[in-house]
Amino acid sequence: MNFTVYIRQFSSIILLLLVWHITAILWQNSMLPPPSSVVQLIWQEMLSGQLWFHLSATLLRVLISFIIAMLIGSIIGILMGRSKITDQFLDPWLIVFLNIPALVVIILAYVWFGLAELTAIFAIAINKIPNVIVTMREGARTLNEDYDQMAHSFNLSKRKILIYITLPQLLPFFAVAARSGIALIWKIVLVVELLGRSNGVGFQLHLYFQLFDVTGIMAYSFSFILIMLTIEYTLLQPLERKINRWRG
Amino acid sequence: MLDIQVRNKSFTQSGSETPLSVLTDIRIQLNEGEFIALVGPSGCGKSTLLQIISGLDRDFEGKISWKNGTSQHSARLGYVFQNPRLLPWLNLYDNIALVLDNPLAKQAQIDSLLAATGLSAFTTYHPAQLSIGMQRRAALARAFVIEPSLLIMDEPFVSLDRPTAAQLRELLLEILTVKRTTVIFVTHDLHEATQLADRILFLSTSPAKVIGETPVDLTRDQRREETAVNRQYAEKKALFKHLYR
Repeated sequence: MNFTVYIRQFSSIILLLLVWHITAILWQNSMLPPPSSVVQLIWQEMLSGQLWFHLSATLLRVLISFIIAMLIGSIIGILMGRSKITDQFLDPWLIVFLNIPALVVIILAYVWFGLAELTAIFAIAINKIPNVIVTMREGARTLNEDYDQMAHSFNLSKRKILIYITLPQLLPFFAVAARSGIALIWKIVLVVELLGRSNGVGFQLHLYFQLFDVTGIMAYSFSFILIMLTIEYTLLQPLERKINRWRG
Repeated sequence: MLDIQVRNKSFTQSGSETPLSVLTDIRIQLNEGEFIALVGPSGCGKSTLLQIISGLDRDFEGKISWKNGTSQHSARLGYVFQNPRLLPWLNLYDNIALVLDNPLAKQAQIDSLLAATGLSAFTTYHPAQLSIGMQRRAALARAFVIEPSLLIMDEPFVSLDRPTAAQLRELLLEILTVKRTTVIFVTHDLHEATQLADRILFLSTSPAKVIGETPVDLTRDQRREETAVNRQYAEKKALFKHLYR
C-alpha cells in the first residue's frame, strides 16, 4: 500500500470522528457522548486495570475456542472432503448445525451444562466448527490429482506427500477459515459473556446497558474492536500474504 | 530389460453395465538403453498404458516384468507428464530436490542438470514466474536427476510453439548422449518420433493394440540433421499411411 492510500484512509477516519463530535455537541444528549468522553473513559478504565482485566478474559476465550474450532473443524472437513461415505453420512448434521442460530446453541449449552467457563468455550466453538468444516471440505475436495500422480510415479514418501503436496494445497483454505473464524468468534464471544459470564467485554457491555451508559458501551466496544483490528493487520494479513507468496 | 504384457484393460463407466475395453493384446519388449516411441491417434489409451507401466494403475490383466531382477517397486522411474506438474509453492531447485531421497548429497548432480537445461540462473524462481518452455525443461531435469532406470515421457512437448519444441528435443538428445537411458516416449507426432526414437510402435484406435513397429535407422549425430531425419520420416510416413488406412 502506498502513502497516498494511507493518507486517504486516515483522513476518512478523522472525518468520521469530526462528524460524530459535531453531532454530539449539537444534540447535547447523554445518549450520544462526544469522542473525547469515550477516550477519557477508556483511559480511566485502563489506569484502574479494569479494561485489561475484561479484555484479556475475552481474548483468552476467543483464542481457546478458535483453536478448538479450527482443529476439530479441519479434521472433520478433510475427512468429509476425502471420503464420500463420511461426507454423505455427516452432511445432514452439518446442514443442521450450520442453521442453528448461535443464540440457541449458547442458551441450550448454558441450560444443559451450567454457567461454566468450559460451557462458554464449547458453545462458541460449536458455532464456528460447521463453517470451518465447509471450507476445509472444499479444500480437500479440490486436491489436485496430477500432483498425486507425480508423487506416486516418483515414489515419494508419505511424509513428503503430506508436507510438500497435501498441506500446501490446504493452507489457503485454512487461512480463509481462520480469518472468517476470528471475525465470527469474537462477535459470538460477547453474546456468551453477556448471557452467563461474570467478566469479559460482553459482561461489561451488559452492565453498561443496564445503566443506560452509552459512553461505557462505546469505550469497551471500541477498545475491543481496536485489538481485533490490530490482530487482523499485524498477524493474519501478513500471514496470509506469506502463504500466498508463490502465486507470483 | 522390460517385458510389458497387457492382455486386457477396461474401465467400467458409471451407469453402464458392460466394461469398456481400452487396451488389448499389448506386448512390448524393451531393451536396456533403448528409446521407443509409441505413436497412435489421440484418445487411444496411450496414457493409460503408461500408467500401467509405471505402476500407477495396477488394475489390469497381464504383467509387467523387469528382466534384470528389479521389481516394480525398486525400479527408479522418471516421469515427464504432458503438463510439467511442478509444485507451484516450491522454487525450481526445491522442485527438483524433492524427488531425491538425499538431496544434500546430490547437489552437484542437481547443479549439472540445471546447467544442462539452462536453468542455473533461475533456481530460486517459482514455476509461475517461468515460461512454459522453462517449466518443461525443469520437468526434464527432475526426471533425470533420479538417474532413472526407465524414463516415461507422455507427450512432453505437446502444445509448444515449434522452435521451443525443437529446442527441447535437441536438449533431450543431448542429455541422452551423456546419460544413456531407457525411454518410452508417447507422441502423436510421427516426425518427433522419427527424430528421437530407436524404434517406433504404432497403436491402433481404441481398444489399442500394437499394429506395427519399425526401427529408425539414424545415428545420434544424424538425428540433428534435418535432411537425414526427413528422409527417414518420409519412409515412416508411408508405413503410417498404410497402417491407418
